[in-house]
Amino acid sequence: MNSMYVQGNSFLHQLDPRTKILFVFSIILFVFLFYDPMFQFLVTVSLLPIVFLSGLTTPYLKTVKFMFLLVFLIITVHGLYNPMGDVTKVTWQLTENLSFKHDALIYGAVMSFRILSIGTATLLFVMSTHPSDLANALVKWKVPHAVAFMILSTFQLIPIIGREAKVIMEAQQARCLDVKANMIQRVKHLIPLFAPLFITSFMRVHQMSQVLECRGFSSTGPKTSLREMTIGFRDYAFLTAIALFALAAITLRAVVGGTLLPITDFVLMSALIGIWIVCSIYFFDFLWKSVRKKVV
Amino acid sequence: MSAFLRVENLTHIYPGKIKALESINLEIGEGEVVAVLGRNGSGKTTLVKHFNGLLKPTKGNVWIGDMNAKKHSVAKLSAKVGYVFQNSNHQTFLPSVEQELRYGCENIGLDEETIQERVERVTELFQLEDILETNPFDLNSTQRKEVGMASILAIEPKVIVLDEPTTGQDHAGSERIKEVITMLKEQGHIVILVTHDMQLVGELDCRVVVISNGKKLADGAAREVFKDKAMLKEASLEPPQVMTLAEQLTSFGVNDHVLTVEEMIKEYKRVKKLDINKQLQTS
Amino acid sequence: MKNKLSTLVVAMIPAGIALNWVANSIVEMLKLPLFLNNIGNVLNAIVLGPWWGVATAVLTNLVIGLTTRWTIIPFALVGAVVALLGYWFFKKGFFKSIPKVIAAGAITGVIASALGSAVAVYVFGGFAGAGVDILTAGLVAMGNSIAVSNLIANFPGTFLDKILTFWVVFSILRIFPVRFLPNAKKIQEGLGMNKGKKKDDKAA
Ligand SMILES: Nc1ncnc2c1ncn2[C@@H]1O[C@H](COP(=O)(O)OP(=O)(O)O)[C@@H](O)[C@H]1O
Ligand SMILES: [Mg+2]
Repeated sequence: MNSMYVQGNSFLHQLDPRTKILFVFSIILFVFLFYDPMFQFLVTVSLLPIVFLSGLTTPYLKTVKFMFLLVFLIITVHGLYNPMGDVTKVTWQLTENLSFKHDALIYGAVMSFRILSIGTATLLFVMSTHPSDLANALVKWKVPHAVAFMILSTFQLIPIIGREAKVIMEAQQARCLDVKANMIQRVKHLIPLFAPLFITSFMRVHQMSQVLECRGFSSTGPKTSLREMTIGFRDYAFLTAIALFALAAITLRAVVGGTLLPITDFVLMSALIGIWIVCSIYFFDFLWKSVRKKVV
Repeated sequence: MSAFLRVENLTHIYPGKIKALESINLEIGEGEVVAVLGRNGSGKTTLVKHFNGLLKPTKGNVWIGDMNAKKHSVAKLSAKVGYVFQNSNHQTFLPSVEQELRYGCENIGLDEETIQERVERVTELFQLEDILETNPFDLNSTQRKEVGMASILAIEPKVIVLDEPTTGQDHAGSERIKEVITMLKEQGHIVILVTHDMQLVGELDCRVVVISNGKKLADGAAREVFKDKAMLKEASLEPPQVMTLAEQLTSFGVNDHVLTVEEMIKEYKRVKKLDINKQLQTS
Repeated sequence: MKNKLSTLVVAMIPAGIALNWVANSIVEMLKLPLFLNNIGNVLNAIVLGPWWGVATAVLTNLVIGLTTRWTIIPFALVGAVVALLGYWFFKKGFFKSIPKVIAAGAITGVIASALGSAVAVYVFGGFAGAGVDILTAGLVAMGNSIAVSNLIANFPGTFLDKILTFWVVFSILRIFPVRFLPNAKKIQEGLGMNKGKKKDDKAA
């Protein structure tokens, strides 16, 4: 299974997938309501206790890595070079003609924390939801059964076809296909590698479509499922909390506007340096690990 | 001269610290047929994948002639060591059998004349004359497997590795594979056979290497190796049924040196004759 | 017949998604600077129909988004457009010879590249959460605007990628065993293959 689902029994794991989907959407709503790095930051940070309480800390830290590269580039490059807003308002003069501009930094910081908070919420959802529960949830939402089925069987198919690809690569190399030949040759080698993969996949598809036919997949009428879910007290409590937050956020937006507090240089510098620090921790961790690999 | 294929102190550890092979030593000379036996997951495939470089040793060395397998690409080694995969669907992609047979030869850059010569040879060997123009996917699985094997043999590798060649084959297919192996042996090729088909091993009357948990447990003539019951038990192997039968019948004067059905029949006739002679004498 | 097609579609779309996914490992082994992660979209668009190609594209990005990097989800738009273009070019007879296929792939490459940059700029401020972002950043530092930098950084890769995606699908469909294709006649017509001769085609 390729899914990032982490088994567990936490509060989050027990919620109905639909509740969690609503949760992800409400986070997206929050971070787009305001244009205020402080607020985006708070949303991101407030998600962290949920990560911890759901027992997802280690896998979470592993997977947010790539988001930090993205966020690092966004805040640094935009802060330095984005010509938006008032370019004379400088937050941090580095050299004579290199400086972090105030307005551009706001944009960079808002973008960064938006990405981090949406990313965190999505990860929470994915890591705590079994793919077949997701498929069932979609069916309950009147997403056609076929679509839910397709998503589910994709999860099953990817590792199978992945293994098949590996065997095909070995089998063709055993017929003297040279993976180290020149570029043009290697491009030509795409055909002997992809063709058997396509063909064996088609064979599998034919079998599967026959199996589906035999099991009455295309029959009409209600479908039933092995894994049953119900929305319980937990879900209602959680949904109520989300709704209250959303209500408060929308009211705030209507009354105060997109920016809640004046954005000081200090806030922006903290965001920038903070992201740099986290990135360098990841970077040094990566360095340390590769050095150790070389040594051992 | 030392043996053509040499395995020296080979250890293989997969990612995840799975030790699949441990300190294997093996020498295989020209014209030898070697059956590699062992239960599922014992490390047979891991061992033979080192011969054409699909896997590289974690420790130790594998020599193919004077080539160290560590230092050459799979494509290069495959000209010397042909590896026939279990499922030929994984290599078949060209729209005719003939093109399939040519593919490997074209990859090693042979000239047209040599390619045609070799294609003709394997065509004859597997009796593929009538299906040269057919799309391989219109053939049945036995035929397709033969085409896969033929496409490897057309490269004329010195060593031929067969990973479970008779699995899923019908009787005629198995017989043909047996014939081909015997013929390759006569031509001086090395044939390495990974299999669970004990009857085939018995009939080939070949050398046997037993692997269990990544270690070599036994190495010798099938006839001798199959007598070591304690070792076979450790490797969860059963000797050919006819051998067990012969052993059960030793009290009737049957010699337990029997490996094949044919030998058993001969042995039975011999014992029967003795019996009749004895009866004649007593009466 | 209708039902038959629908179970085929239901089975074929996951296969298309899996092919998109697995393409990565083949390209990696050959050390080619490509992705080919639209290959299943184009295949399904041609074999099943344009909207099934789009469905394959959207579900692919959804699945990858939900399992490895969610930042890929907005780029479903690009995959969907590539699927539609693949079908359109197939319909218009561009899959009848290699030069035409390459031309179709090139045009698709340009469109996909522009669209990809637009998505990256609009959604992620010019980055996409991929290695090529470093190049984009370098180009910005050299004084280019963010949109232009992203376009320059991504164009060569995307352009080549779409050409080869089309070429691979074309080459494979030409040598594909007829019995596995659901609407073989129509597809062979689109590939400009001789209808009279059934068995031996002169491909490859
Ligand atoms: N790619 C791999 N990664 C990790 N472990 C593997 C891999 N291939 C095989 N193994 C493990 O190595 C051992 C030997 O496998 P294999 O050589 O395939 O056995 P056999 O061919 O005798 O059935 C098994 O325990 C198997 O699980
Ligand atoms: Mg094996």
